[in-house]
Amino acid sequence: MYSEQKLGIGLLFNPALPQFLETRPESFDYLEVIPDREWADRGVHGSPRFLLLEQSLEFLERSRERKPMLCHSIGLSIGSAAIFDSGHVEQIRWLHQKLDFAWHSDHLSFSRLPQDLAAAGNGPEMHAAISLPVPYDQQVLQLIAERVRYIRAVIDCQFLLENNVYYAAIPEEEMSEAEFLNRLCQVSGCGILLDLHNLYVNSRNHGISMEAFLRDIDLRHIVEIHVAGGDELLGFYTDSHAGPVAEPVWELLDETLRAAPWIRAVTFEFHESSYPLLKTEGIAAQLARARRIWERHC
Amino acid sequence: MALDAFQDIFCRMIASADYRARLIDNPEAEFDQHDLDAREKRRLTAMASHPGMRINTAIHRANRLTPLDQTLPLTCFLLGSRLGALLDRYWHCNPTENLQLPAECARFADFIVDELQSGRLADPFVGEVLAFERACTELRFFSAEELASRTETQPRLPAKVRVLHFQHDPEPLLEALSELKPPPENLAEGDFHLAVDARSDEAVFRLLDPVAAAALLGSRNAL
Repeated sequence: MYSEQKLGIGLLFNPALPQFLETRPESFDYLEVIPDREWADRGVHGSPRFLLLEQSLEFLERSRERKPMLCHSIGLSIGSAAIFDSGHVEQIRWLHQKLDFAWHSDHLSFSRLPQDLAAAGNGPEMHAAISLPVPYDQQVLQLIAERVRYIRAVIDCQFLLENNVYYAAIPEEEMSEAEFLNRLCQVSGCGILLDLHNLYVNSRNHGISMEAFLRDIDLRHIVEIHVAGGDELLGFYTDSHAGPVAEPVWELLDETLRAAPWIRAVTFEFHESSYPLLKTEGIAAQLARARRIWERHC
Repeated sequence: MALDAFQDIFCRMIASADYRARLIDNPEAEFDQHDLDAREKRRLTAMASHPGMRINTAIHRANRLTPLDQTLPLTCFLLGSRLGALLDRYWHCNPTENLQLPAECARFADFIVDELQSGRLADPFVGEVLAFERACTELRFFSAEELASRTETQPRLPAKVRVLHFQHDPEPLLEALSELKPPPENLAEGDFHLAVDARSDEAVFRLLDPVAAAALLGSRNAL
């Protein structure tokens, strides 16, 4: 069994943050890192495949001595029909052995596929450069559940999947997103990283009911929450992680933690390009607001 | 399995607005080449016309530009209004394998060098600024052992040191570009050598006189 310890309020690490982490350690309880930014990946046929960015890794090792750490990968592409990258999973395991993550998460989506379908697994890949939704169908559920079980067997910590954002809806799905996540957790043993901003983005763009989602999702499976902000583009609202947390997301956080006080962590995400807008005090203010809500319920 | 074909077409629609337009105009012509069931055909037909596909494409392009902007910012600035057409051609010919900075930097740099050598792109500064930024990226992302094993490493210099040749005075040129200003008029022309020393955390840049450049390129221990 894995630890059930609560972590509190944390930050998703980005290259703008080192000074903040040094000067404001009291403002956050843990650090979440994107492992794929800690190495150069030369592709599945590269030898060696992964080249570590040593300065960045050394910084994280020093940070780990002071704070717990979570792993939030972006390179797994767990929903790709034609690709499953066991080498990436092994690399995460290696990093877990170094940094001892409390848990590991990735996205319920796909981004990688073969350039030539006929050469799947052997030929070069292409990357969508965007996290794309999978259809919520039984066939996809079985595919992903099998991969989750593999990941859980290889990496010795809890594994979570994050609800995805999407801009073009896939019609005729067999299940709702909440139903798909509930079943996936039941059959595979994974937990849920509930990104409340993704939920808000989907609500803004597609009119889905956030209340219905939170009513239908099995809150017992939620381990971590992400909060973030976004902005407008071509008539859509995007998950750009620009600046402070969107105001409706704070309300969602309050509702969710009130309903599920066992949730173990709330992570603030922002893109490094927003640092000049937020600055040190702005980041600290976002974390303090998250902490006030956390302490009200957890 | 039809899911892989569905994902393939979904992804190609995002990467290429032209492909998406062709699919809207004549979906069966594309679908006939793939193993798709009726529901997947209906899904793709509906998604092709969904206004959200324009957002997917915009994000796709922004995310593909990010590694280039982070590793070759001065080159991108120099290319200015020519960059859009170059990127269209580069992305059309080079589906990205991943978004890792050094790999994407090297691939785009090779593409630009090819454009320059073929005469499709003409610019007096792009070649030397591109070589400078490419060298800085390699020094930043690769270990001394890695660099030492690469064929393009200057064999008589420490692995974490490069000497770059410029045909224009690099100091005012790079200073102007880093302030997002065009190259100054009447830049001194000639043979200039800029040493980039990345043996410590912060890279050190030093303009060399011809004698020092010759000495450095001839000795491992001159720095």
